[in-house]
Amino acid sequence: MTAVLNKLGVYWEVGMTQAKARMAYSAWFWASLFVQTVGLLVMVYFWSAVYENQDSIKGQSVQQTLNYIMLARMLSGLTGSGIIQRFGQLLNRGELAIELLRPVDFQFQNLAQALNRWFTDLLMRWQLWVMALVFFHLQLPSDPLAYLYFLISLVLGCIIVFFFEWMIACIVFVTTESWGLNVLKEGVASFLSGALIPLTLMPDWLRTVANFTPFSKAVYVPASFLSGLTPVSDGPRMLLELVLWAVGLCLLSRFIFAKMVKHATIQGG
Amino acid sequence: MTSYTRMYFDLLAQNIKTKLEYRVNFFIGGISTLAGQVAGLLTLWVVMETIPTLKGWTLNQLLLIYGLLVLSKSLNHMFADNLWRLGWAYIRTGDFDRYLVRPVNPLFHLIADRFCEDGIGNFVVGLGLLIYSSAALDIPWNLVNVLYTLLMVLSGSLVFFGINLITSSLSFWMTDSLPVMWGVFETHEFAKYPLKIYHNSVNVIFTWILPFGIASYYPASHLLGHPVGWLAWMAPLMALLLVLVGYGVWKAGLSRYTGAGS
Repeated sequence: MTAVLNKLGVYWEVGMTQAKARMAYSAWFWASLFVQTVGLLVMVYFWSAVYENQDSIKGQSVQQTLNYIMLARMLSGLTGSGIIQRFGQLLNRGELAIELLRPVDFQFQNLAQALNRWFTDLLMRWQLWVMALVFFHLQLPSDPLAYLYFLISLVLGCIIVFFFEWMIACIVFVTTESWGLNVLKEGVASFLSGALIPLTLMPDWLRTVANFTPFSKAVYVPASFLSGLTPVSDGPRMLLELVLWAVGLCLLSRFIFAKMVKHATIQGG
Repeated sequence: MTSYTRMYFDLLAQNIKTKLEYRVNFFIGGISTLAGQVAGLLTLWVVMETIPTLKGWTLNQLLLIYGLLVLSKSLNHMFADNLWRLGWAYIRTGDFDRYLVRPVNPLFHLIADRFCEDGIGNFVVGLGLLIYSSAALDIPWNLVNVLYTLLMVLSGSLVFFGINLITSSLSFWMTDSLPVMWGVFETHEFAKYPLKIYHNSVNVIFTWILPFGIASYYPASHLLGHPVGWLAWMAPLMALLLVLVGYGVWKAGLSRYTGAGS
């Protein structure tokens, strides 16, 4: 028991370094807040224009869609864990070997940091939530279960995205290029996550494709719980699905890492 | 002037050679921004499948605006990308001094020092959208329209350049103005859609203050035969104004520059 608590304590401290680093760069914080506000504004105006001539689209009202879009926008940062850039850095600076020698699991250490950074980012966007509530009439559910399912699916979704990105990051061992890889992934993720359009408004075949990607688990699922697109009665089944995804991707990502790390070529010197 | 032109192409050739040293990276970089655009286009396509027009604009008309904006953006991305690195890669590190001891305009040198292949993806998308949407809309590509479009795209890229020049030059005062530069740059997202879907105040901002719309929305309206009057021709003037202001800020910043101690 003591050993387990010590272990968790280590991961907690490792994770907290991200929160501290994040808050140290206030210029980036304000720039990010501004950019998110821009994105929120564009989306609200766009979707309001879309609904100008109809009361509902595929059974969804304008308020439901706006609700969802605002929430999805605030969660859109969750499609990127930063692990791809991290691998690029480690490789360029020749620090990979050192990291692998530490007495803390390399993958779980990075997962702890990623989760903390996501959490910190969400908290630091409280201005955005206030803006959405006050100026754009964001409506939140009255059922406490919706919030519970939201939080649980949020954490599980982030974990799923992290493991998936870990697999993509392993490609860096072969190409040594990480910026392009990340942009490539971002482009795909931003659409399939449901950050730009609710999955419920997509054609059936496209919704199926999006549902088979991990990114919708971090944005669409939590946002749909909080916006009411997914009823709370679906909660248990959805969460079970997320758990299975998380376990499966964890095993697969560790397998791929074990294979690919052998191809690493340390740069510079 | 001739020597600057030749110097530019010599530097460009060297840059591209160094890029091709790593062909896989060059390819990934070129295709990566392409993927970024796919997301935005898929959104438009899915939405327009459910409604006939957006404030009177059809899908093909929306693609025309989108294509013009992305084309302008891509030229700036390919040829003026080094502005993004002025603060953190040159001023902060003291490397900027290298430019000041050479008998070449430092701004020219900074820009000529980098060709960004990532912008190729955006260029392909922008050009493809322009060709596709204009064909679908039966816009005749006579000499007048071709020259007009070229003028607007070049003006648009200079608008991007001018705005970036202003925000990056702030690095002379704050060492690294990248957050400001990024924040201002991202507002171009507004210009992906017809300005008429926004509140009037947003219209004014993106027509006169951060005039990304002046080189996409208004030219698109003009090509479609919409009556936008003289606004159809404001892009070159706004571009010139922004570049002049940007260069003024650059020179002011340069005059107070002191190298980072080392």
